Amino acid sequence: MTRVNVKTMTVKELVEQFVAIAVDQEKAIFDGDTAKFNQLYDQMEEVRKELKSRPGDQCQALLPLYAHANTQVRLRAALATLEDEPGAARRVLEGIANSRRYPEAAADALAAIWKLDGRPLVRS
Amino acid sequence: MTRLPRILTAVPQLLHVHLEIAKAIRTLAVQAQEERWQQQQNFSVISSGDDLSKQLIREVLRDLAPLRRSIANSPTTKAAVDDPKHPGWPAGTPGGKGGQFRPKDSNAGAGQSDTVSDSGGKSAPPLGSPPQIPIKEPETAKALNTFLRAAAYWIAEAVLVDEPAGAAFLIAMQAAKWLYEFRPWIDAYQDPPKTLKELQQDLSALDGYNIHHIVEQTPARKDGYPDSVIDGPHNLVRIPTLTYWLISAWFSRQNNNFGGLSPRDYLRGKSWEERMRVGKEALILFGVLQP
Repeated sequence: MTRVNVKTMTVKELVEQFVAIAVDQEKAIFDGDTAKFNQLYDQMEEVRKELKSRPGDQCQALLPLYAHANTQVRLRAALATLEDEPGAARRVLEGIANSRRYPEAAADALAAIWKLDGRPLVRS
Repeated sequence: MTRLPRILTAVPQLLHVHLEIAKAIRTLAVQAQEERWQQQQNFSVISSGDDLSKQLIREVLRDLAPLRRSIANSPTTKAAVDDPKHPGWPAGTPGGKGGQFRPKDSNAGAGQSDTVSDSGGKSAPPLGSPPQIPIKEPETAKALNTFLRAAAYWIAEAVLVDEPAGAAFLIAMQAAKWLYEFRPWIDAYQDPPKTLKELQQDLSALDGYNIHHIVEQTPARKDGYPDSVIDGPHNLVRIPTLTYWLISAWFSRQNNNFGGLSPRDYLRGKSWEERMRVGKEALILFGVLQP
């Protein structure tokens, strides 16, 4: 994926970029390409922070992605909006956590749910 | 037509046990059925009906039931947009339906990565198609691993949402002789979560399993922990190989729950106890250790 200047992008373009990064993340996970995934992770954070910084906190523009067909897109949208929409985001995460088809996404979703509940899976 | 012996109800109701029995039955039946089994590598052929296949499918389904019940009782089973078993309406659905259960045959506009849904109401089955079984063993390790993981994950999901399709896929895999060597990897992945004691009680080598260090060994050595602790019995568990790979990759991926660091980077310089906590957390998250 080509690096872009998020500062010059519209909210719609940022959301499209978010989706494209998530789709590439899923591929990187399945290919076992950790370096690529971590690179994409940083890019997604850049997009999320840019949306957050726009007037009115435009992370709300990610909410329609809760119904996206791609599991990684739904996961990342839910994680990115968890603070603002804990109820709806949680339901998305629960759906992913209950799936067995994408164990990497299910693990991240389950960890986020437990963190939301304030209970560590294992006590120190 | 070959009749199968009715012995399966007297064995432990565990999927992997049943899978082995199904394989043994196939071996017994193979003399008379060899030609036909070879032709049944195509999923659709098996689905279309064959008395032997149907018999095996019924038997496999019987053993899938307890696993499905245990999953259904998991703590996160609530209505959710993309949960095919407990489907829910998405947030913002008119009429205040958001978050509530919806009929299983309705389209909430969401699906798995391989499903199609749009505003026109078109929706593929939640499970999607199983991975295509190669006629011959893939020539590259990457292609082989890709298939094994896809098959294992698809079966695990099939247990949840579509038993007949899952059982039929198992039967189709029985027909691919090259897969015999690798079936333990796929079957082991279907193990239900175990206690720590169970995971640690037998550390002998077993096909489909790896010995896993709960606290990662290389980073622990770099931080000065002695081999006697790193390789000690309290730090070792036997887990399915595919899960071993999943956890190893998880440790190296950046993660929101570790402040954007990978768990491996987060644990650098941390105490043994914290490393053990995160290591056990990974085992729980990937379904090998009971919470």
